[in-house]
Amino acid sequence: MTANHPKLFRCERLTKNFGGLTAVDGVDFGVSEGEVLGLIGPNGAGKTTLFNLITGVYQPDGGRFTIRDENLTGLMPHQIKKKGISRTFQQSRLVLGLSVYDNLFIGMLESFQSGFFDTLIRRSGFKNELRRAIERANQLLRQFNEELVEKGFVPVSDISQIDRRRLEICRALATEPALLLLDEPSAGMTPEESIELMNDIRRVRESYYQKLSIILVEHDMMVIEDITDRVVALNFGKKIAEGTFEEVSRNEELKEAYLGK
Amino acid sequence: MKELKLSLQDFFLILLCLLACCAVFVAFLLATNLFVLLAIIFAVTLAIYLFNRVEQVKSLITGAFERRGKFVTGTVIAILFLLPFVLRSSPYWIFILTLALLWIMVALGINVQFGSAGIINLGAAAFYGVGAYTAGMLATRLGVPPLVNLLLGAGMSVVVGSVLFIPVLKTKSYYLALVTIAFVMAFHTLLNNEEWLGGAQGIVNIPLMSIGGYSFLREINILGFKLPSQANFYYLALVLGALMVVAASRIWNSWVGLTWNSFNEDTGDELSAKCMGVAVNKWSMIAFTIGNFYIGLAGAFYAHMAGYIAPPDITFYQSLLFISAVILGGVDSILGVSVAAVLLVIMPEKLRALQQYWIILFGIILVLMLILRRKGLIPARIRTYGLKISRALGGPPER
Amino acid sequence: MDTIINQIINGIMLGVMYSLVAVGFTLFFGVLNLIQFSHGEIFMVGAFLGLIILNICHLVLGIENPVLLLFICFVGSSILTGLFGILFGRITIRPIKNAPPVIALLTTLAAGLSIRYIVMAFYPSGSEPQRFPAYLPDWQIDIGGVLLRFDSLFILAGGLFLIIGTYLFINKTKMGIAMRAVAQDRETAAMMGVNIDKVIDITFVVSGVLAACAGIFNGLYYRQIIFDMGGLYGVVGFSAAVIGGLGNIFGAIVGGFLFALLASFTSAFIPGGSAYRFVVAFAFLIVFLVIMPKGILGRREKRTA
Repeated sequence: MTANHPKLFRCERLTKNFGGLTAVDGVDFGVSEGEVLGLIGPNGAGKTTLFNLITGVYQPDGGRFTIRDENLTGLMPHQIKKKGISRTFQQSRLVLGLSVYDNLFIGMLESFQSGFFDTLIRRSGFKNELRRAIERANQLLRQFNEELVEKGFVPVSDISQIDRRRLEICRALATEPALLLLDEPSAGMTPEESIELMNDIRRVRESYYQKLSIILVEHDMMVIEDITDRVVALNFGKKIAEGTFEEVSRNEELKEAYLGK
Repeated sequence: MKELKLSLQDFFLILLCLLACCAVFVAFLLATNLFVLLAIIFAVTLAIYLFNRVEQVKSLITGAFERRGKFVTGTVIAILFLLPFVLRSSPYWIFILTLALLWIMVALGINVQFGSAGIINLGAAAFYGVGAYTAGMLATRLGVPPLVNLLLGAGMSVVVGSVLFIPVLKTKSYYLALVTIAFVMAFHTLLNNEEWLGGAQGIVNIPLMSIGGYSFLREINILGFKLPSQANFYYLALVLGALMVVAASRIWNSWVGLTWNSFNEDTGDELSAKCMGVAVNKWSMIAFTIGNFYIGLAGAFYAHMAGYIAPPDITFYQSLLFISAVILGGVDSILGVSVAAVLLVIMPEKLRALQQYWIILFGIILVLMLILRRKGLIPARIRTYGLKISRALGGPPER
Repeated sequence: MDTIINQIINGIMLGVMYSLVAVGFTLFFGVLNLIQFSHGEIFMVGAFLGLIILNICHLVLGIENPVLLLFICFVGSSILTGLFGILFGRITIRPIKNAPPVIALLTTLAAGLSIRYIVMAFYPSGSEPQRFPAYLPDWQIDIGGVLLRFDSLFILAGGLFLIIGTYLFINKTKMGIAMRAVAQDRETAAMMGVNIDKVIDITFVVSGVLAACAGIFNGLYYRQIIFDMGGLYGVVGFSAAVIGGLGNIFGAIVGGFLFALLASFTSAFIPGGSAYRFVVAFAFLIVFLVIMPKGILGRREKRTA
């Protein structure tokens, strides 16, 4: 449906080697504005490595990737964030000892203007910014769940797993990305929680973030079928299929990769 | 009417608590009998234990303290101001309290580095030494006035600290620990052997603190009371210390404190902080610098208080004492590290009878703390940025 | 020429002792992902236990034969230090075996401090250097004008023996294989039935034996020991292990010798260098860590999911 629109994000021949192992091998694909792309493949196929490459955590050994035709290859993670790519992680990387708000604010830190002067001396500047930050945080939390707003100052260690996942996505959204990478958001959840979370993601996206592009790594094929517009499949670091879910699910090599010969 | 009753109750409780603490503290300072001392320690520990166990008392008192923040601050300042009056016949203890204030400054510095940002600096004594030696040398060789030396000593500490920027950024946790240990040991050897640094004698005959023409060796006459000359140092340290506590507190309760927490190696997550846009390297260096500034300033003050500084004051063991203020007191907790700093100065003085057993006890306590209560005596609370948060809104719970 | 050879020999002696301590550090890190900062104190305890055993055997039991005395000393101290290590491990390390290495570093640092001052407080005239009896014969062998002391050869041979023994233990025995399994992947090893607590014990025993022997070598070579001898050795041992690559036994040996030779040469060839030998060595360490954080032979990469 969105296949003919100009691509927001492109990666071309992206490659990464670790010692003798080629984790990502010449991967090419693009994502249009507002599109949800599913990234699937068996464990070890290179999906997380790909995410690490396009967020600057690893530097590629070959190829390049761009946002709106601007080359981002070689940039550091915090620079890539500025260019509009944000992500969540397979294992929760929230700071458990800090409050819900504090974790959200981490995503907003870059946009804050208060410097040392406002911190130490003219506190009113800081206080104003703080109020706006809390409003923004509440707004983000409200998109997911009204109850979360009341837990603003609760330490993350005291909230449920599914709330933590929601919070992590909120934090990524707080950076106002053009492209959001979700790395197995429902990992470790019960089927009910998984459905709940995916419904949340879909609802939030449709209500507030129609222009947001998403790359979603998931193992649950029903979720992929349901939420994504297109799918890219990887195996052993190579792209083996691309297209709609129906097209890709008929791919022989993919079926073999998942189910064996 | 109920409001008034609540206010009066709060004020009464706060005054009672603070005055009681003060009384016990002074009694502890002035007691000379070992059994009396141990009895006081036991009583205090018991009181704290009971306080934590009896919910009503605990919530009543903590509630009062939280509601009347300004009153608490005012009372504390008043008590601190009056301490030298109470201790005016024991000038030695006023001197020790001043030293405790200096240790609070050092602890605040290390708290920024290690507590907030997770940068382990086991070479803190070296930076203290840089501050002290700079002040000492500038004063004795170039006649620089003491007050200026405080800034210069702190500044020099920052400059020397920048030598370690690259290791701080490039090496992690235990490697950095080793680097800083090696640094302080090498620094100590340098101090001992270089004649221009005073060699084994150190720098002696450093002019004591004076502001303008006012010499700190004079007694103070206030309100009909005669305070010993040590009170001069105490009050200056109090003013400086208060400023530094306020600054540290404001920095903690702001985006800066949060930024440091976000990439703290032990409690935060550097990778996701970077992905969220945090310039980790820049903020690491800032934390390290601010910490060294605090530590260096305290060192410079010490030089002008003691009148001399020598290599035995600058050792790895000293660094360990400094950092233990943070470990024992409460990682990333300004109140916690301050209390611990004071205890670390006072305890060895009072328990002189225990002599070398003190170090053994200290080591054991440190081990127990690390194993059983890693967050410290008074752990850091949830950051509320100075806002008054009602419990109903999921306000900061007891930790 | 003479001086150079003598300095080299001196450096080698020091290298043997540093290496033995460094191997202990590297074992702790490699197997348990911990920094055992009081390993220097284990070294000291080994030396003191050795001294006590020697004194008891000689003065109380009246044993005269130096060979017998030294044998009992080494074996006895090794056993006792190993046991001490097990006790130490159970009290301080087991509770924090899953904590980040920095916590272990601080905990063991504090524990080491206590051990050091316990010895000072409770050993008779503990704050003074203790004379270590000289049971090694005073023979000197003349090779081409260079005098090789017997004790140098003894220490060298002893060190070699211990290293080979450790290598065989780690690679050929069941416990050694368990250690290597835990070093590679603790979780999987545990799932395969390896008893992690037992591995902690064994690591303490092996490194304890090495440290105790190093301590006795130190006593025999310098003819005295003192309660704070572990301080410097702890830092040096750690440094050497890091230089060689934490987790790599051979690296620890290389690191130990490198450190010792660096210190010896500075002492010998730079005027007034003796006082500065550690400044130079530590400066080298700091620069090295920045340039080659993985050490000369590479650090064990801990698997992170």
